[in-house]
Amino acid sequence: MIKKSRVPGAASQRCILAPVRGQGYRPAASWVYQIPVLGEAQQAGDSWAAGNYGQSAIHEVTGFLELALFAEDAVVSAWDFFTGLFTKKTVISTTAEVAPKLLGTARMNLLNAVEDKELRGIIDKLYRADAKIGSGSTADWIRDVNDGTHIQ
Amino acid sequence: MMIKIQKMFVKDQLKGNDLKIGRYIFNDLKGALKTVK
Repeated sequence: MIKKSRVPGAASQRCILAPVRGQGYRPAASWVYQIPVLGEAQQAGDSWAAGNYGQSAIHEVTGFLELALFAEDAVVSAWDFFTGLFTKKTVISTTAEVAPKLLGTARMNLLNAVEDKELRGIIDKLYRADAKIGSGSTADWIRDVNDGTHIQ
Repeated sequence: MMIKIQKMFVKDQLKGNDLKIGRYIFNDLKGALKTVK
């Protein structure tokens, strides 16, 4: 942030003022270490010689705050990128993909709950494992087709 | 399948959870068939 540069002797919009003994603050005419001015320097009503920095001082402070926040964001994103190189990637799945694994399908739930062997065989035939229509039950297929000619 | 389940009911073969599951499947099929035009 601090840089060494030559400031012209004449007052300019963005020059840095350096203290001169007995003369208050004047534009520096020699090589000095400077803090860059953020925002507009020398706003109307500001009087730097009288110590009234006013709007330009507010610009300076807010400008530094913005720079600090920007730097913080840059550091955080760089850190996230760095740690991401060593972290297992998380794949976000849709609800339709996750729900059957967590809640189970109708077929899975019924087969897990049933004890009677004959009823288990009926469930195995009526409920499809890889269902695309409804819960995979034959009843859902009948509702979906809704055509008496297919049903005997 | 409905007839098979009905026979199981008649024989009083299903108890507890199995009876509930049997009723659920039977009623589900029955309701679906009612919607057929």
